[in-house]
Amino acid sequence: MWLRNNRGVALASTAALLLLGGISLAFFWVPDDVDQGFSQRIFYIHVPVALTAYACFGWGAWKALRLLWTREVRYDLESYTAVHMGVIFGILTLVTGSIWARISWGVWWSWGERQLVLFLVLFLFYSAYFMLRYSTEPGPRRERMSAVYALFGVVLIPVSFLAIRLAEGFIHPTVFTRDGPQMAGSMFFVFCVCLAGTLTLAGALYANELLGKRVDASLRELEEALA
Amino acid sequence: MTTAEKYVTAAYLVVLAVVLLYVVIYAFKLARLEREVTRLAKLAAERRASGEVPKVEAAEPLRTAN
Repeated sequence: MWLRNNRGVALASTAALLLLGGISLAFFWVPDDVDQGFSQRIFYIHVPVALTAYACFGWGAWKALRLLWTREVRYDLESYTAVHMGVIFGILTLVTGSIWARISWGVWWSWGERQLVLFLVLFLFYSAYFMLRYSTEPGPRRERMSAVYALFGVVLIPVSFLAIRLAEGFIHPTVFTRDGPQMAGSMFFVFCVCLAGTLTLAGALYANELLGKRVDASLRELEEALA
Repeated sequence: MTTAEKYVTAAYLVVLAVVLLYVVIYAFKLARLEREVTRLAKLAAERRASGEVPKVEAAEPLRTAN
């Protein structure tokens, strides 16, 4: 019962533990990468954050689909909150990716890399979601438009994810192939801890943000009733 | 500290900074909600004191934690 009523607190505590553990292991336990040396350690935050952004956008699209399917208004707020979280993790992906590019390639950004450009397109697409949402009056029309838009964006996720494998002459490293993760067992373990941490962090932020938005909406209703 | 170490530390600090910024923004939001609740509670108390029946009766009952 406590867990159900304090989901946000439980998720935030678990995320803090996992991330603290994962980052400590990444800095002090895993060996240096043969090719990239110490700088490869950005991998343990950059890739989990990017996968979490995909997961948030995917979750937002799923909630959008539920809205269109069932017409239940609560899914609109859930979809919007998930997209909101996805954009936050998208910003983190772009910033950490740029830092990694600076060390490895000597540039902050490379327009020739399809993986990077497609992620930027995905990020900008979902950033425009907010402009669309706030350019229309609240109501069923806005809910449906937002849901359709969130669903369209999800198509870009597999394209962005697979771009690296389809691209030729890329310099962005491919770590996960059909033969499994191309890294040592200890590295993969730390990656999994960090991924669990970022996913739980996104879950905690999502739960708290959603709670805040619901309280806000209830207060508005109460204000109207008292007016 | 080598250049690589500086960049790696910066990447992790950026993530930490964004999460902390989010917490700060959320704290402001919670403070605003608290002010709203206080204002509405005061308004409801005034209505009750003046004998007016609030329209809240027609609204959906508030869901409690338990």
